Amino acid sequence: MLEVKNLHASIEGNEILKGIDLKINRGEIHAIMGPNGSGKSTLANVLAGKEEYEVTRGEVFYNGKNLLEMAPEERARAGIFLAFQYPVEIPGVTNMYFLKTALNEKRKYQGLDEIDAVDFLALVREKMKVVEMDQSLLNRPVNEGFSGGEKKRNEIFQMAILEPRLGILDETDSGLDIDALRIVANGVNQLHDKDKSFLVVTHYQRLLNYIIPDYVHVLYNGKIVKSGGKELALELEDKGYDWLK
Amino acid sequence: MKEQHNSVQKFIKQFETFEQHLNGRKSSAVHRLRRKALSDFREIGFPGSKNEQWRFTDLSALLNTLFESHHLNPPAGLRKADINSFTFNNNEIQLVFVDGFFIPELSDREQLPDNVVVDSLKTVYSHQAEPFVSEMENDRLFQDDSFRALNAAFLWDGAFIEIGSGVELNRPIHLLFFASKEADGKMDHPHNRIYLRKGASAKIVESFISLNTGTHFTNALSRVELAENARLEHYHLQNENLQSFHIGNTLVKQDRSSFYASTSLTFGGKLTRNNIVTSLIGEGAETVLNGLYMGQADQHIDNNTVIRHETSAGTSHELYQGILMNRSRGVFSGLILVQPHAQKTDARQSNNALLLSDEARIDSKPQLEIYADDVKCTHGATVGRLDKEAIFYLRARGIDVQEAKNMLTFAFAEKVTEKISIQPLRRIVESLILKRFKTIEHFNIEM
Ligand SMILES: Nc1ncnc2c1ncn2[C@@H]1O[C@H](COP(=O)(O)OP(=O)(O)OP(=O)(O)O)[C@@H](O)[C@H]1O
Ligand SMILES: [Mg+2]
Repeated sequence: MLEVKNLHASIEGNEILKGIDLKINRGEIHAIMGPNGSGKSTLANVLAGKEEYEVTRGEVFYNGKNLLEMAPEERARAGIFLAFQYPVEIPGVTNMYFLKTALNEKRKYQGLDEIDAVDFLALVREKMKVVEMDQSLLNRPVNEGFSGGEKKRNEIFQMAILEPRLGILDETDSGLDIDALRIVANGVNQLHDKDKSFLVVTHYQRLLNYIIPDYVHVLYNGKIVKSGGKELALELEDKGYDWLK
Repeated sequence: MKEQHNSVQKFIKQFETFEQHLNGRKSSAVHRLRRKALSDFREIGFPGSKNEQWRFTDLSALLNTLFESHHLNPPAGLRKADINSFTFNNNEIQLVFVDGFFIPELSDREQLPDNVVVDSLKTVYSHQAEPFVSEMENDRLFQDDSFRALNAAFLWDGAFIEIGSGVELNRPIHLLFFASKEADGKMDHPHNRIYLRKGASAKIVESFISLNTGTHFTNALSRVELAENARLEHYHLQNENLQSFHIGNTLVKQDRSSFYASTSLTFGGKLTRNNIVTSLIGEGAETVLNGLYMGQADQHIDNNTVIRHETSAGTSHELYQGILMNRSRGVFSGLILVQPHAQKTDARQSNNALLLSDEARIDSKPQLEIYADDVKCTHGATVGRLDKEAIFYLRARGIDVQEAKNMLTFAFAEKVTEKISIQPLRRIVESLILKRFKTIEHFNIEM
């Protein structure tokens, strides 16, 4: 489903990604770990299409299409979803309106009619339960004044509504209390099926007790320096990153 | 200086033509008032380039154009169907003016409650010249300002509104000023007088609309007096064509515990200058000044507000939001004056501009003059562009880049539009904003 080949990316002239190779098949869950500043968010943002990053070498294919040629919104409509490490506040745009617009864009892309108001409300109710999100957050401007945990939960809520084919979670577990962590993981697991894949960036093995990865990769200084199964996460927890340098 | 002199002469010449059409009415008291205003105007002239109040607004395009004064007769041919889309579903009390003339057939004053007068000013001063003239003379509005003096010199028509003590009017009053297809090259000086007696409350909307595409000049003035505990929501919506010139003067006197809320909405005009002066002369009066302006192409929009806290315990809140596209230019000057007796004043001002192109520009000049010590006064100004991170966030959810920018711009404007309490007016304003999003020149820039 996703194939990253020798990806190099820089920002303002600094090379951050220095040759990433990664292949994610349908239905797989991949975890990426690695020290601060190693380039995990950069990889996530490049996959989502953030324009500040310049891809200097390499290619990325998503379901056979050249992903790097697609605008961020096209990628989203085609099923890529990035849960941001730092969700952005959008003053004046309510969560409900925002979500409905996003969902309808996707439906339009799929050749479907706009969702009617009643169905949308039912969908929102259903997904709200999954992430145990407070109703009051829906009518507030997107993320504005949300607590750190509420913002993260809102990301998973959006993901649950938009049902991506490839969900990229950038440290969604950071800053969550233990209950919230379970809820977020639950949201991912409910969505996960044989056609949907996930790329989960995390610092903590803990999350991977709930979301069981098929593969774990270590990103270090812009490169994947080690890949393995879920036991690699335990090893990292134990030994840190120094031994991989 | 020479050009200045020439343009003053041009207006004086127009006055003479205007005067000839008055025939027998030349010796009336009202006309003596006009002549007095004209001689004041002759003395004051137009503001020169060194005038601090006009530092950011160049009047030469206005002064170099020759505008003719009124026609002889009201223009005919406009029907209700032509103006429906500018009304609030015809649910309002309505006075319609076309090229300066009151048009009763298009107006609607049915079922006015007792103690409410909503009439054409000309009707009022034709029947009761004396009280009107002495009121105007006492008001001393035109002694020190060129455009106010011109407004009085060319005094013709406008609205006269009086809401009697204790009357709470629940339908809005809508004053519509149209420039018809025959208004090219013409000028109009509408003059409105608005009185709310003790405890009265009302909502008044002034809409200025061009039906023509050629240049014309509107020099409007509204005088507002609020007695004790009176409450007025006052809207000024200007959507004249992009060749037109608009000077709007709103002068407000507020007595004890009165409430005045102005919402100034500017979309049209090649050059617009809105002056609002509110004087809080009674204790505990409250003023709210909200403004939204949206410039495109080469539009120049200048908002100048003065809030005079003359006595104690007054409150004023001011919020102006400006959206500037293409090569448009905005000016905001806001003076808050707190006199020595005005203790316990609470004054807040905020003006924000969103620049949507590299060539757009805003000059803002907040000013606090405080002569009392126990006061709370704050002001803040921001100039910004759309937030790139927010745009990316929206795009990452599948929202088109243009739509993302529109959503953020709309939200910026909504800080003011959400305060519009007349729903049909809010819808008209929102549709004007959305229409701007569709214009060709919009957002054709790298963000
Ligand atoms: N605009 C920029 N200019 C220069 N360097 C940048 C810029 N943005 C990011 N970087 C650098 O890129 C590197 C990788 O950042 P990135 O956010 O991808 O790290 P990360 O692995 O996600 O770290 P963390 O675990 O702390 O979230 C960092 O060293 C960061 O300082
Ligand atoms: Mg990161």
